[in-house]
Amino acid sequence: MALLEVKNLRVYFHTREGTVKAVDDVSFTLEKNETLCLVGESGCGKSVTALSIIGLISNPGKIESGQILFEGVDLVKLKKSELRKFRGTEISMIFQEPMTSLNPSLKVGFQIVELLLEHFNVSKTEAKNLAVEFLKKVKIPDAVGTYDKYPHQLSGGMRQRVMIAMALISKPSLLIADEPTTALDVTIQLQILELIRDLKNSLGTSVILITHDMGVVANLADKVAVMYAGKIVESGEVFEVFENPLHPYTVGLLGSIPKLDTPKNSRLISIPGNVPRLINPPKGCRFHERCSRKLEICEIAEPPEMTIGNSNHRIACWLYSDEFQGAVDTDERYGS
Amino acid sequence: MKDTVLEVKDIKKEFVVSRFGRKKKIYALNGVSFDLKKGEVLGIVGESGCGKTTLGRVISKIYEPTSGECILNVEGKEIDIAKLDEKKFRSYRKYIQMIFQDPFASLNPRLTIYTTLYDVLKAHGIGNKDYRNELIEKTIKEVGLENYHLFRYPHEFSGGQRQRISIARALILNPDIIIADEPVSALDVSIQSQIINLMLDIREKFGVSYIFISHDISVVRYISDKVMVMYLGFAVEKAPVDVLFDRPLHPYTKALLSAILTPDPKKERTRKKMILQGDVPDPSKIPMGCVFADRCPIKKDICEKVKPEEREIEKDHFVSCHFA
Amino acid sequence: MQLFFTKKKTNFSDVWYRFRRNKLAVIGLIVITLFILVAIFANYLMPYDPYKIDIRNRLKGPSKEHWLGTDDLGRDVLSRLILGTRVSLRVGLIVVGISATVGTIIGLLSGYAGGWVDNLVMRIVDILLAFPGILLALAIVAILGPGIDHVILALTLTGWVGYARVVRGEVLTIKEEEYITAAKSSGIKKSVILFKYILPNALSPIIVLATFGIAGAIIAESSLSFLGLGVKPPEPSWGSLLNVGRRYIMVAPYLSIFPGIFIMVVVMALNFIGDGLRDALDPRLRNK
Repeated sequence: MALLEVKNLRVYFHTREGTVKAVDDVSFTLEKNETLCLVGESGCGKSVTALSIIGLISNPGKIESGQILFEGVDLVKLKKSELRKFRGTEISMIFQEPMTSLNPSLKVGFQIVELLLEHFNVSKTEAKNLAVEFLKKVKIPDAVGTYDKYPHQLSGGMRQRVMIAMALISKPSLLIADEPTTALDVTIQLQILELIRDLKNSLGTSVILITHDMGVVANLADKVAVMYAGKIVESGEVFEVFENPLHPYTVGLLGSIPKLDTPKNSRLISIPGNVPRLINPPKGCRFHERCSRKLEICEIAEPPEMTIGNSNHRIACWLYSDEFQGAVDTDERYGS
Repeated sequence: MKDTVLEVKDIKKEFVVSRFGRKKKIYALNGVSFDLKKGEVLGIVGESGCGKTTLGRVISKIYEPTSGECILNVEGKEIDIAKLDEKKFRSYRKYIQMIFQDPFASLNPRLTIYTTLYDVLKAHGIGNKDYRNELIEKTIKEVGLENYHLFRYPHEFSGGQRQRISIARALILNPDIIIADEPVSALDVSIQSQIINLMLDIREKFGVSYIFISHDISVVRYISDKVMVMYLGFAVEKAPVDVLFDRPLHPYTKALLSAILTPDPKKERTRKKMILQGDVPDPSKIPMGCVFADRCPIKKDICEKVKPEEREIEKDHFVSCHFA
Repeated sequence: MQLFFTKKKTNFSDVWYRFRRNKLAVIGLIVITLFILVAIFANYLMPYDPYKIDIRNRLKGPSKEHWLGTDDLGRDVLSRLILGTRVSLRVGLIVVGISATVGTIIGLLSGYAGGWVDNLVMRIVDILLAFPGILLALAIVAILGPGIDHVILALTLTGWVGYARVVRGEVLTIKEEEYITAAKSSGIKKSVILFKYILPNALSPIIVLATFGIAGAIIAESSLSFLGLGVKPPEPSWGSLLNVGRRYIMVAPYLSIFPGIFIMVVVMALNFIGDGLRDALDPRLRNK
């Protein structure tokens, strides 16, 4: 059984201006000890997807329909109090800016101990020892010293390590990391990514990593799901998707990053236009207004999700539908 | 040199901050030098606190430098703008313009785009009303926007469009130098490349030089002709872009290049990575020896005691390291 | 090309357009206009002579003859309230008008200049704030002698302080915003930055303070009048009427209720206008 199975999830935000369909019919699965990257640009619904797994969608947002099966239990159906039992123990989350998720007026160690005492039946000394042990585990050089520090006395990288320690101390089966390295410097980013990989392997945790950075995906992911305007447009094994990107959006996204071998004085591939607003998403395929390979059908009907070959490379694009197979040569790589 | 538009010599900047009454000196820039030719793009890379933003703001005189020279070569004269007071600098301001990182914060929310641009022209006493209007229309087209956008307010635009407006604001004065401080960092990936392409088009058309400040090394590599790597207020390595990426010499440069994530899982997982230990040090305590000593993997005793001199290893390739 | 630019809407018509769409604000504006008209045409609107004493009919509740009843000396409350509108609105509007303007300018300059200028101004502000404002006003009126103009002067002298403090605080945050840095780097002049870039972004707390300030001034005038330093006794103001009513709160509660309602209606109307104005001046809220 998969650890996590999200089926046809729809999360809408009912605002005064209209209904924002932030997540619209999203499905994916996550196996044990696997890393899934949800990648996309701002407003594509990747964070909302994560927040709904951990049950943190609040007014005006609402999970409209769908299932989130965590070890077979449908989290959508649980009461708030029952859900709380999962949160912080079975499922943990870390955020982009660790400063905002740590209490600035309490010492780091105290905050970890509080967390332990709340969730587990341990004594104060045990909790303290465990806290120091985990600070060591996230490779904080001076774990004992850090225990007695306030969050503002730590650097951004150290704070993120503390957050990771707090998230993993309960040995959760699932860690959700929302842009965990975006606010960090590049050399620190590499440290944190290595740390997440090591801890995932040693603790056997599954990871859902949310990012906008294709480089992070390439570094860490087993599976990747590319999101656009509330939908997953392409997903599959990371090697397969990067080697053979099929959806025009994925291709454009990969092409718009300057690579070390991009020739100078050329122009980058850019996707024209802007990310659509989700109150009135475009009809048909949500990407059609910005797509350079648009077919007539794309404006009219939503593309069905289909599997390519016998892998689990899935894509939602009319270009690869059987009916339109004649229109394009699937091998023709676009933009490269 | 005739085609040098800007020559910066040994620029230093100290800030005094007081916290709870205790005064502390922050050494943001500790003697940085470089020159910039007409139509050239200088990329400045480094992590937070390395002084790259301060450098941009000192050159554009938002901050006054503590010492050093900043020689601007315009109108056939050489002027050291570092020494000019605000009043005297006013007439040179139009030669150096800036683009900021956050397109949501760098435009006044209460002014229409038209007013924002008009105010700039008015401040420099350029033309009469008709001429200004003409120039505004011309510039807004240049950055890929339309006339009807002019009477909208900043909040009605997306991030990428706002950054276009910021570029228009800089471009409208027909500057020789545009200092772009992380101009694409706040934008979505698909929008980033639009803005980078626009900046390159503008350089081609108007021959403007850029100082492109960014922490994103792959973007810097793509857009720059030469690159300066900064660490703790020092320029540790300077080189033409291809040289720097082919033959990095300073261990910090190597670590920085190694930290670029390749959007290709096969290459990304097999390449050799150099993971630096520790954090960027405190800019209020500048070490006696090499600034990078405490994180450096090839450190020797001398590094902690003696500051390395800047040496020219090959043509135009400068590095400050004892062992490069 | 020229045609296009003549189509440009002026800033004022833009703001007015947005203000009009806020129903409460329009109601507020109508109410205040009515009160101002009442103040101007008080002489024609009063049903009775507001000074005519009629001891036999003292402390009579609302009736057909006296809609809002009579006071302790048998005078018609409605007439006195109508006449009182003059003093109260004058005090409220002038005091707030002047102190908001002065306080805003001082706060702007002090916050933007920083350094010793800011330090000096803020120490003066602190000193003035340390005294209860009413006490200070009392002392000033005591020196200058009683009279409504002196009351206005005294309240203004103490009133600007609050605005200066709040505006300075706003300026300190706004001047660190990137669009101010951007404006500086584009070479925009200091005076333009101060009044066109900083001031409009600091407006909302000023508007909130001002709407409450008018109510405060109306009440403060009554306290001074109560001590014999404001309007002289037979002349009515809302504040003094409220004060008189307090003495009879048990036997004739309507004596304090009606002036209270008048003050409340004005304050609410001003609040609606304030809210509407704040939103209308903010282009970000245009579409809501």
